[in-house]
Amino acid sequence: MKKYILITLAASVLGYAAIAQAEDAAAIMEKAHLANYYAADDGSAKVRMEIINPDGAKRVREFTILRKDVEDGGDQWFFVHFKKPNDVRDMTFLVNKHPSAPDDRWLFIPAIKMVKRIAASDARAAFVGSDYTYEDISGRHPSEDAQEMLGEEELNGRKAWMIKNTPKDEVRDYAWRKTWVDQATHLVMKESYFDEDGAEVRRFTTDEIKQVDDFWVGIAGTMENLELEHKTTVRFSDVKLNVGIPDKVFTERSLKSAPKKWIR
Amino acid sequence: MDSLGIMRNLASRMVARATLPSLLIALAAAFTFAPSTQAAEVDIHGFVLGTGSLRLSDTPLVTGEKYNWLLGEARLRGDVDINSDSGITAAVAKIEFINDSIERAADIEVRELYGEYLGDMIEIRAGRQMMTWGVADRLFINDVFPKDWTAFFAGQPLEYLKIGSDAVKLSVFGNRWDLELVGIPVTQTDVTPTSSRFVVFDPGFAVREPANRLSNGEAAARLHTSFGSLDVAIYAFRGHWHQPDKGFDPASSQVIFPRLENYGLTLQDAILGGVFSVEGGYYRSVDDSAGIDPFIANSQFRYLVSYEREIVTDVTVAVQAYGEIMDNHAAYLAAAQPAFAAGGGPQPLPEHRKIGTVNVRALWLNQTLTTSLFAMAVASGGRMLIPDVHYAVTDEFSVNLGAHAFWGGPDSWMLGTMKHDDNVYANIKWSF
Repeated sequence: MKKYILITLAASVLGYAAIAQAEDAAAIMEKAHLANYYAADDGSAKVRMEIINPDGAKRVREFTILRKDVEDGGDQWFFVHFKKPNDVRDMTFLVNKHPSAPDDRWLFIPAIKMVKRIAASDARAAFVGSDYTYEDISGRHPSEDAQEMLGEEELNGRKAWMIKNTPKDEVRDYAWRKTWVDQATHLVMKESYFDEDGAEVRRFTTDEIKQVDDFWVGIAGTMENLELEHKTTVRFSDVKLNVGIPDKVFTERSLKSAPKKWIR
Repeated sequence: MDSLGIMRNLASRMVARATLPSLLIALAAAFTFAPSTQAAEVDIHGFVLGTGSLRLSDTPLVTGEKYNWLLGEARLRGDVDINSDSGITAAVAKIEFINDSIERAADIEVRELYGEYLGDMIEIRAGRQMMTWGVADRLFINDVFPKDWTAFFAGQPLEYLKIGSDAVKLSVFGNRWDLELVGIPVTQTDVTPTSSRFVVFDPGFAVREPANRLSNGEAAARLHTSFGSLDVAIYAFRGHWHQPDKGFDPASSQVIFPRLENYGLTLQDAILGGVFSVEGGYYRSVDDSAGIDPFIANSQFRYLVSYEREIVTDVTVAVQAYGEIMDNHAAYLAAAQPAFAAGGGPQPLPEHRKIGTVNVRALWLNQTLTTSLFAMAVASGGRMLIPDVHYAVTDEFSVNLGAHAFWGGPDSWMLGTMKHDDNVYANIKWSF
C-alpha cells in the first residue's frame, strides 16, 4: 500500500507540468460550458433560425425556448415551442437533458393533440433540419472530450484561448475541434471542426454577444457546413434570465396546453 | 344551383354533421369562454390541401366502376385562435371548406371548435376537440375517440384518421400527476369505408346509432404520472363500441353499437437509446359479458408492446406487437356456429388475434424529405403496406405521395376485405 502511494506521488510530481496545462484547458472548457449553457438558473428567449442552402434559398424556424437548470453543469429542462413554419406551428419539444445519459424527449403534435415520446440516441442528429445538432443546442459536456491548450489569439479585438477538443469516443462527423474561448466572458466565440485529414469541415462563429443582467450571452451565431456550403444563422431576442419559470412548465401539461405567459 | 341554394345546402350539411347538441355545446362554450375582443390576441392561419386518390383495381364497385377515384378534393382550412390577454380564456376554431370534385358538391367540416378556461389547477375545454390517448401507432386500445378509416385508407394526411369529439374535458393538475375527465354527450362512431367508393363487404344493413339520450353519453378518464423518466397512465371508459362489426340487431336487421367499458394502462420509457412502450386494456362488452349472444362482440383483452429506435442518424425503426384475446371464445363459437355452418359468410374469429407492424422512417436533404414504409400483418392473414414520401418544397409548400397495398386473408380486421382497394394517393399542401 505504502509503495503504491509513493509510486502514485512520484508519477504525479513528474507528470505535473504536462498535466497542469491540460487541466487549465479542461478547466477553461468547464467554465465555458457553464457560461454558454448554464447562465443563471433559468431563462427564456425567442429564436429565429435561418437555414440557408448553397443557392441562398432560406427556410425559417421561429420558436420560443425556455430553460431551467436542475443543477449547474448537470440536468436541465428545455421547452421549445414553434411558431414557424406554419405547418409545425404549436409543435413543442420537451427535453430533459442528462449530461451522462441519453436525453428524455417528448414531442407534441398539435394536429391530433398527441404527446409522443421520441428516441434520442443520436446527439449529433440535426436539430429541425438545421446545421445545428441537438448537442449544439443543449451543450456537449467537456468530460466527453480530451483538452489541449493551443495558445492564445485575438479575435475581433478580444483575447481568446485556443483549445483543442478531441472526443474520447469517436464522433461521426468530425475528428477534433478547435475552440476559441473569450477570456473576459468564457463564451465560445468560434469553433472549427476538423476531419481526420485536418481539413476544416464545419465552423461555428458567435456573431454578437450581449450583457443580460450580470451575464454575457451570445445572441447571434452561425453554423456552417463547409463541405456542403450549407449554413444556419441563429438570432436570439427577448433574452431573459433568472425569471423564475416554475417546474410545472416542464411537464406533459405544458406540451398539451402551452403556458401562454411564458411563450408569448 | 344558385348561391343561396349552395349556402342552404352547406348549412344543412353542417348541422347534420355536427348534430344539434354538439353545436349547442360549442356555441355555449364559445360564448362562455371566449374572451372579449378588446383584450385579446387573435391568430389566423390555415392551409389549402388538395388530395387525389385512385383505386388501382379492375374489380368493379357495386356501381360497376373500375379504377375509380377514392378521393378528389380541395380543402381550404381556416384556424382562428383567440387568446385573452390574461391568458385565462381562449377560443379555437378549425374549419374546413371542402370542394369534392367526385360528388361535385361543397361541404363544411368543423375539425375543432372549442372554448377553454385555463386555470392554475384546472382547465376546462368545451366543444369539438381532438384528443389522442395511448402509445400505439395506427392501432388503438385506450384511444377511445372516433376515427375516420375512410380518410386513412384513401390517403388523406394521417391527422385525418382522427375526428374531433363533441365533448367537455376537465383537466386537473396535481404536483406529480394530471387527470383528464371527458364527457361526450352524443356517441360518435367511426367512419368506415363504404361500397360507394371501395370494394368492401357491405351487406347493406341500415345502421342504428345509439339514441341521443343522456344515458347513452360516453365518459372517459386518464390519470397520468411519471416515475423518473417512466411515463405511466391509467384509463377508464364507459360508452359504446365504435366499429360497425361489433353488434347486429337481427329483429330489425340493423347494425348497432353495443355498450362497452374499457380499463387500461400505458407505460413508456427510454431504454437503450430507444423508446419502449407497453399498452393494455380490458374491453368489457357490457351487453354480452358472458359471450353468449352471437350478434354482439365478446369482451376482449387488448395488448401492445412496441420499441422505436433511431438505428442510424435520421433513420428510425418502430416495431409493434399487438393482440386481441377474446373472452369466452368457446361460448362465442357455440353461439355463432349456425351462422358459420351456413357457409359463404364470415369466418369465425380466432381466440387470439395477433397483429405486427414495422415502420421504417428516414429523413433526407436536411430533413425536408421524409420517406416511410409502414407494414402491417395479421397473423391469420391480411397484409397492408404503405410506402409514403413527403417533401417540403419550401416552408409553405409540401407534396406527399404514397400508396396502400393490401393482401387478403380470412380473418384480417379490415385488411382482408380490402384486397381490391389498392390505391395511390397524392396530397399537395400550401400553408399560410
